[in-house]
Amino acid sequence: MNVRSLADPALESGVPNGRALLDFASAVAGGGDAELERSREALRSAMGDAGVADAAAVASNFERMVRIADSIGIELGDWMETFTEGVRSDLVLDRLRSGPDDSREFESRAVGA
Amino acid sequence: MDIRYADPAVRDDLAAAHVRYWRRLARPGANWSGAQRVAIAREVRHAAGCAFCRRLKDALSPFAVEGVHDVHPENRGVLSAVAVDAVHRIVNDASRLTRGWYERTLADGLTDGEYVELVGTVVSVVSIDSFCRGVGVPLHPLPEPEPGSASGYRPETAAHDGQSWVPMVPFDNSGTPEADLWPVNRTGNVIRALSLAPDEVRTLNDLGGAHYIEHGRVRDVSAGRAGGALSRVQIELVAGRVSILNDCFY
Repeated sequence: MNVRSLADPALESGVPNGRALLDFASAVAGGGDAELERSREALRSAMGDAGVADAAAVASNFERMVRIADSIGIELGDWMETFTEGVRSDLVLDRLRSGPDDSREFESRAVGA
Repeated sequence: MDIRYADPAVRDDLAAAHVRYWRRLARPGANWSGAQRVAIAREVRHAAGCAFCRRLKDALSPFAVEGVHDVHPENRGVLSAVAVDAVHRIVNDASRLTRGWYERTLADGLTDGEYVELVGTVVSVVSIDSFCRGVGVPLHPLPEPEPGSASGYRPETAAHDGQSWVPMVPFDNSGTPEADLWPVNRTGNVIRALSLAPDEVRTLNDLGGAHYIEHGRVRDVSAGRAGGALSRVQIELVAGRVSILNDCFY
């Protein structure tokens, strides 16, 4: 998988039906109703009803997980730090880390995230 | 409690997990009554239309804007202002929450146990509602709350260990009432995060197993969902995109 496609869905992901999945995930995570409907039908055409249902299940799972991480202020931990090092570097994810103070209040907007 | 998906493509285990959670939502938890838990769920849905939250979202700092949240009319007198603020911020702008905000939330009256159970409730409702929106079906009606008081349960082993803002059960949970939450010493902080309210971790494992992959198999990158429509790499593509759009460092 080309992990850079996660940040820029215009890039080829290298994953079968990747474009339809990325568009649908984007719509679930913040798109309007029209965008969601359009992307759902495109995914349905590509992967059928089961593809839509399973992609919605995964997307909605991560709508949960990201909020847990952010609202509890967890650290990555040793295993995740090591396991995700390459991806984190490619996507510059460490700019989103929380700190011991309120520095993150300004960080994400300042870097144009 | 009856949650059905007319679309036969929705797996039975997903619907069953949603039914189990809706039942749990209605019951008293460790820190909140059933009525308060359902009120939190109601507030989750109401937060989407909050004008103050829109101003916060547009601001350079979400902590430099004066105003009040638009509270669901049925929740006035049921949820405190600090609880409502927590619900709205977790729903609408979680990536910009800070330790300072969390500490002010406790100073303003929420206990750490209440906060963790509130987070667990918010994220479960967000997830199930998001699934409904994704597949294009109406949101499930909220359950009728069951009577009774919060149990007040707090794991004896929960403590601050520098891995989060809140106390958590240690990785080594053997020989404790929390031994079922994860295999001893084999989990991540995102699972331990809610362990101050252990039932929230049980819910996380239950819903996560149906929506994503069973907890014990997540680290096996070859593990997919048997009979599922998505390969593991397709699953991670969707997961990664949603996480990026939510500005999640984890």
